[in-house]
This record gives sequence, C-alpha cells and structure tokens, in this order.
Amino acid sequence: MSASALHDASSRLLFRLAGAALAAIVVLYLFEVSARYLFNAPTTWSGEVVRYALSVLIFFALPEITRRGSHVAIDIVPSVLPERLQSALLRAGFLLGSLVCLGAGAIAGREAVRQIERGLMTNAAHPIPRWWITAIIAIGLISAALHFARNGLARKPAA
Amino acid sequence: MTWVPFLTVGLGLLLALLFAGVPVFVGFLALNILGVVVLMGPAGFGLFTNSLFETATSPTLATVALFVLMGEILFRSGTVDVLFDSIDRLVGNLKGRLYVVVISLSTVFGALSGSAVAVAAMLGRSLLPMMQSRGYDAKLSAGTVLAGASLAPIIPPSLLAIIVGSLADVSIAGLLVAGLIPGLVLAGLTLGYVMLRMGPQPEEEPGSTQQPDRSRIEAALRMTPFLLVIFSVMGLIMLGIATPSESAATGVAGAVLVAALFGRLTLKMLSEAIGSAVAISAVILVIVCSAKLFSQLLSFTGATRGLVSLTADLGLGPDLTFLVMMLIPFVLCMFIDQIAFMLLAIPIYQPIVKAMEFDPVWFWTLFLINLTIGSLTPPFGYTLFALKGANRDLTIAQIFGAAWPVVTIFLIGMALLWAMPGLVTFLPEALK
Repeated sequence: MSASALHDASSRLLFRLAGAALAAIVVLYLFEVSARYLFNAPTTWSGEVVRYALSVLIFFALPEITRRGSHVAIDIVPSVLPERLQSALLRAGFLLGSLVCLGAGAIAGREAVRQIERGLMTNAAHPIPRWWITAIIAIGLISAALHFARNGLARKPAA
Repeated sequence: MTWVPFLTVGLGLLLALLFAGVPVFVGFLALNILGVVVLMGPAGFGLFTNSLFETATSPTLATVALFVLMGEILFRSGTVDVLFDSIDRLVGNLKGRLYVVVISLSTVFGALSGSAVAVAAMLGRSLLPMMQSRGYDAKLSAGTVLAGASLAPIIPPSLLAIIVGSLADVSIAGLLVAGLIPGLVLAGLTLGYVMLRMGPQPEEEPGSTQQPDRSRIEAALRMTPFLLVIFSVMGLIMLGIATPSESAATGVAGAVLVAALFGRLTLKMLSEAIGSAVAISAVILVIVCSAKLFSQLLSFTGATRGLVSLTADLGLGPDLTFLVMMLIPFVLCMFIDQIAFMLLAIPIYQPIVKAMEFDPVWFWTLFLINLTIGSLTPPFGYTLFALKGANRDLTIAQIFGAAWPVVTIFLIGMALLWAMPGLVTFLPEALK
C-alpha cells in the first residue's frame, strides 16, 4: 500500500471514529435524561464524555473533509479569474492551508508533550490526561495539513 | 490604542486571504498563529492550544451537530417529504406557497433549536434541495431559509437570550418571552417580501394541484407523527426535563421514531445520516473553533473593549448612542462568534444601558436581533457559511445575494421595534 493510500485509509478510519463520537453523544445525552428523570440518578460523567466526544467529532473528521475538499471558501474572486490564474491561486491556497495546519498541529503537538511532562489533567469531576484531547487536535490538524499539501502539489489540484 | 494597527492589519490580511479563496478556517487560523507570534511570541502557544481545546470541548457546539443529524435523519428517511407535501396540500394553491411553507417550517425548526447555524445547516440539507428540484428561485429559496434560520436565536426558546439574560442581569423569562412578537414580526416581514417578489396575480407553482378537502384531512393526519419530534425538543425543554443540548439528542431520537413509524428506518439510512451529519457539522465547527481564537486575540489587544469604550466616551445622546451600540455588534459579529462578543461587550454595555435609561428587556432583545443580523451579513456571517457547508449546489455568490434582502428586512424590523418598543415589552409586562 502506498503512503498516500495509507493516509487516505487513515483519514477514512478517523472519520468513522468521528461518526461513532456523534452517535455516542446522542446515546450519552439520552442516557443522562433517562437517568435523571426516570431513575433520579444523574451522572457526573456523561456531560464530560460528551465534551471529549465533540473534540473527536471535529478534529477526527477534519482530515477526511479536507481530502474531499469540503471546506467553505469564498470563491467569488477566483471564479472570475482566467483558468491558469485560478489554478495557481487554488494551489497556493492549498499550500498555505498545509503550512497553517502544520503549524497549528505542531503547536498543539508540542503542547501535548508539555502536558504529558507536567501531568496535566482536565478540569472535571472525572479528570483525564489533558494531552489525550490535545493530541486528537494535533492529529487532525497534521493529517489535514498532509491532505492540503498533497492537493497543492498534485499535477491538477482538485477544487 | 495599540489595537488600532492590529485590527487594521489583521482584518486586511484576513480579507485578502479569504477573498483569494483560502478556506475560511485556514484564514482565521493563519491570522491567529501570526497574531500569537507577533503579540506574545512562543509563550502564547499555550493560549492558542488552550483556546482550540476549550472550543472543541464546548458542549453547546454539540447541539449544532445533533440538530444537523436530526435533519439528516428526517431528510434521508424521506419523512421531510411527507411533512413538506402535507403542509403543501394544506396551504393550498397560493402563488409562492412553497416559500410560505419554507418560512413556516423554518420558523418552527428555528423555534425548536435556538441556533441559526444549526437550522441553516439542517434546512440547507433537507428542504432546500427539494425546492431546487422543484424549480424554485435559488436566491429566494436560500433567502427564506436564511430568514427562517435567523429567527432561531430570537423566538423562544433561545440559547442566546438565556446567555444575555444571565450576563446582563435581566429576567431570563422576560427576555425569552420578549422575543416572541419580534420573531413573528420578522417572519411576517419576510413573508411580505416573498409576496411582493411573487407579484399580485395568482399563478400555478411547479408541482402544485388543487386538493380536495379529504386530501387535506389526510395530509393533516400524516403530519401528526411530527408532533413527536416537536415534543422531543420543545416539550422536554418546556417541561424542564432536558437542557437544549439534551433536547437536541431527544430530537434525534424523535426523528428516528418518526422514520420508524413511516417504515423508513434502516441501518444504511442511519449510517449515511451520521456520516453526512459529521461532514457538515465538522465543516461548520472547525470555522467556529478558528473564529473563537480570533475573538480572543481581539480581546487580548484590547480591540473589542477599545471599540466599545470609544462609543461610551463619545458623549452622544440616547438615540445616537443606541445606534452606535447597535453598529458595533452588527460589524463585529460578521467576524467573530456571537457568544464570545457577548461575553466581552455585555459587562461594558450594561452601565451604558442603565445610564441612558433604556428598558433593559427592550435593549437586550434588539441587541440579540442585531447579533443575529451580524451572523447573516456577508462576507463573514456564520449562518451563510453554515448554509454553504450544507448545500453544495449553492454558490457563495448566490448565498450572499440571498442574504442582503434578509439583512434589509431584519434591519427594517429592528427599526420598527425601536420605534414601537411596546412590541417587545408588551408580553413581558403582561406576564409580570
């Protein structure tokens, strides 16, 4: 399997995990409402798991939506330019996207390492290591950066 | 005044990037990283990561994904078609009736969710494609969805009203109830605009036939299962059983039950709905995450506070002060998150509201409507991006074109509420 195929497969896998996170959010909220009003037994953990699941939803879906080119962009100016200029602008946009996401991912990755070193935990009733979430953010951004780079360096960048 | 060059250069850079076609979230992230490096150096990287962390784990954002999922289930199961066709039959053979149907439906959905972004995304994914396939005008259809979605933070229950109420020390119940008449006024103005666009002559609409009474009764009966979805969201909030986020999840459960009742519940449909909801909501939420960081930088440089303080220092009369106080959120909410703006502006606005002796319920209701207008004003309104993210067939130029008449309608509505404060204060006063 080539490196790009492996990258695509990993993005699809992360996207499925994002889907699982959304399903988990629904189930957790329904469980919480039932526990609170049917059994008078509210939990202290379901709201916290929902928060973590949301970060999985956003940042694990990011690589796949970047691969698909689903991001929102204002295309008024590029759409009126000649095709060659339009293509060059698109390529530059992808490369900038790659650079920015790589930078943001590197910052988050560095912060995750710092959080491991300091043993930082989330501020919650049932704390978890803070780096778990920060790593999810870093993974999503760095993988998205690779998709932007692949698209920017492709012979014909996909809009 | 160090915030002046930051704001000028920052906004210039952001505009240049976005108009060059760079993805919106990349534009905000680029500015953010640059801002952190320039203003704080590497010491600011912790703040940068922390901001991403806090936004990505904010439970209110889960509501967006859940309402998108609810819409996806209703759409993919085909149950929205049932609702759409039933209301279509009930409304009759009016000219432009599907626009009326969309405004009514989006008002109902908006009243259920409290989030303009979520409703725009949901309707953009569910009802708008149906209008497009029936040959309705793309801009007017998108405009009705934008208007309907923008009623969400105004008509109760409204998440923003609750936040404003708790921050501004105003009766939350009063503020919630106060949104009802203005919401209906804005819906009425939008309907009026649609009717004007349609012209006075009755005319056949695409896909329309005159329905006999029996067919209408049948249509009404076919709509009853949807009361389950409405109850799952609205009913549980009103009964105090679920928070708005939880009620979005019960709404998803309600949508699943409705799909099952119509015999259209399959694992394949559910799986596709989840996949689509993840893709749509991630596109939206990544922008929200990036924009939140931008608003933090504005706050750090003192730009937001500086702009607001400047208003207070001008020494204008009540009417002009009101105008300036409304102009600031109108402009800033095109760029930054409404909640972030409220957190910064409300503590500063509050003493000015008191000093100018504005009725607090009236002022904060108009403030709320104004924030909503900001989020649907081109080129940066969140609601616009939500609609674009949800409906790939619409170009951003079509969405911008659709938004301007809605912005104008809402501004006319605000002027009306400014001139006739009783429209806002009547219900809260009556309930005292």
